[in-house]
Amino acid sequence: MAELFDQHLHNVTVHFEQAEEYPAGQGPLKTYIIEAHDLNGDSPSHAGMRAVLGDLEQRFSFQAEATNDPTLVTLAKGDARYFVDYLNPRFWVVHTTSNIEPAQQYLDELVRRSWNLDYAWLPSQVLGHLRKGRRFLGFNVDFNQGLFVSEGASDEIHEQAAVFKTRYRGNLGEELFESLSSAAFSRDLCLSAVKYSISDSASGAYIKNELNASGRIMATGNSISLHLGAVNHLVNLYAQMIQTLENELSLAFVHGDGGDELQGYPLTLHFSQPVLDFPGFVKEVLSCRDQTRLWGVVSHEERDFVRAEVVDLHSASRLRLDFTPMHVVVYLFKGSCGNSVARLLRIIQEHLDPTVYFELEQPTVFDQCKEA
Amino acid sequence: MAGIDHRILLPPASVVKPDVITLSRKSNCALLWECKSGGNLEVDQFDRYRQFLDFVTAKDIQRVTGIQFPDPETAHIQVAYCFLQEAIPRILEFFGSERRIPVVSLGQTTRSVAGDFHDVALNQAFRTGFTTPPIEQVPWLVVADAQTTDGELALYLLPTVVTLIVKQTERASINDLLSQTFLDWQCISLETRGALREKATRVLKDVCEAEFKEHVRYCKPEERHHDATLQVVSELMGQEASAQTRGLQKLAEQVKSAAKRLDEGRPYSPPLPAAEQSSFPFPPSG
Repeated sequence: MAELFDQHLHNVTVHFEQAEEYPAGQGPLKTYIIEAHDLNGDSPSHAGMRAVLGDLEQRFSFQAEATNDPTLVTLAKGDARYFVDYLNPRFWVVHTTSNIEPAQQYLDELVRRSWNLDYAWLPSQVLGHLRKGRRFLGFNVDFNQGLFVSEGASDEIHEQAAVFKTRYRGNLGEELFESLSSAAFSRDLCLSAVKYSISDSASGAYIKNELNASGRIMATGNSISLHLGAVNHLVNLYAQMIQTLENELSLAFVHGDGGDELQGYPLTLHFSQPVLDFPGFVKEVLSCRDQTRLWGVVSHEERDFVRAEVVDLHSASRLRLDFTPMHVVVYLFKGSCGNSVARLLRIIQEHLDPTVYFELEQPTVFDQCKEA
Repeated sequence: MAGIDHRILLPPASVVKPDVITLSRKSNCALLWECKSGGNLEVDQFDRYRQFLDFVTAKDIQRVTGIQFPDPETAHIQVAYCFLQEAIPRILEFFGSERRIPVVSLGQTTRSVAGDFHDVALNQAFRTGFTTPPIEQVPWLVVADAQTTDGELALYLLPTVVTLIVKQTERASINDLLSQTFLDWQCISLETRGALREKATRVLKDVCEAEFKEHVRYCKPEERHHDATLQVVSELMGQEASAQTRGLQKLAEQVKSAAKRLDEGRPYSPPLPAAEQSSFPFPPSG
């Protein structure tokens, strides 16, 4: 696989902005992070992967083929072909050189219609962290409060809903981003992609990566090793993030020596200012729609307070959410998936408040990413 | 927290049932909490607790509830009452000189207003008082007890049934559903668990034969099995994306209407087909 992609990198030169315009097989190398569960909802084992892949073949008409590497398979559909590396069976690394439109379309179909698969959800702060120490070549900012404003809200609320979208490519990435970060409107600055390069000046090897908030890395350059190194760093970091959320937050009363002790704690996501349209916000979060993918029923409702019993449609696991105009409290039930919390935070950042971030009770990987 | 709703016999035949039992391993002491809004102090109950403290030991509590003290020989037990602040002036007269039963007032500040806790540090903390967190910041971890209504139970349990539908799990027992729904299931007394299981079985049977009929089938306990099961028959997750989303949204509406119906004690009446919903599908002409 590495040889194939190395050849691909040497044979094609692409600009990410025109990725959809290249002939089949001539676009950038794309690598995705997919978070997976086995068919009973647990973390998958290598042995359990056969059943998961069989299920995908059956439901989506993908063709799965084994390779010489026991933790690498190919999945093919139409013109799209993917290499699925499940060395870590919970966090797959999926590579493809197929054109971006069909590659993304088939993968979206696979992920969004499979309760046991999900993309990665990288907070804005983590994207900012991942470009540090690398040559910063550009960024995308996407913030739109419209999603959480209901159609029935007043014109005044619709007008107040902030939108801030911009794309920058060039060699002033660092300066421009720092300048935006210190501007008055910096609280609307939600990174949705970062572009950077990594190089080895001694050998002339380099790779340019564009990493987006759902864990997709597009690559061009001349070194597959540098690309795979960046992917490996990302997947390890993401696995650490999700496992931290699960270890810290999963709620359970555990029978101890002296009685039952509560493990885990509810997580509060604090907003920097009140939600514009509180009913619209609650309704959209529980709408079952992409991207939130949460199903819920309200069990208690007062003015400015709603409690809901919730199901994450990815992972089919239970949560409870308490909403107020100033915060959301997430109760992650034992055995539930940390990706549910990562997805909710990412969507809140994109559509409500990019400054919201994980504040856990003890220092974790999230603090390292924020402070670095 | 060491237990919820444990019924404790006070020989020969009276019973107390503290709402919550908490245990401090450090001080080898358990607190048996009665939590009340203050509308009514049950004088009989208060008298039973006073007798209880004369007769019941930590070892008795360990045997009856399964709570394990670090050293049962030297362990203490204590009863504490918690009331809303507005009820305090009215109820304090009942406590009179009974210093063994501390009374905690719950208002903007939480503090003890009568009696003493054995644990010196705890006593000092409650005497000084602390700011009560706003209700929306109090974690909602213990959600069901023997008084939980059928409708409330449906609101908690049916989302767990939805996880089965999404996962296409073939079958699950009512016991599994309860333990996945209530985080504190293992802390709840056997008696309350039994009452909740019975209520859950009734609620789930009803909803599976009504609102959830297309999705889940209720199966009676088989021979040698005590527990009824639910079998998923739903085809919802096989549908295309937008139909799936609509179906899931409809399920949420059905959960709400089932909860309301159960609390009102109404039988299920299926929605009328669209054509029959209005006798005037078009505005009358002329």
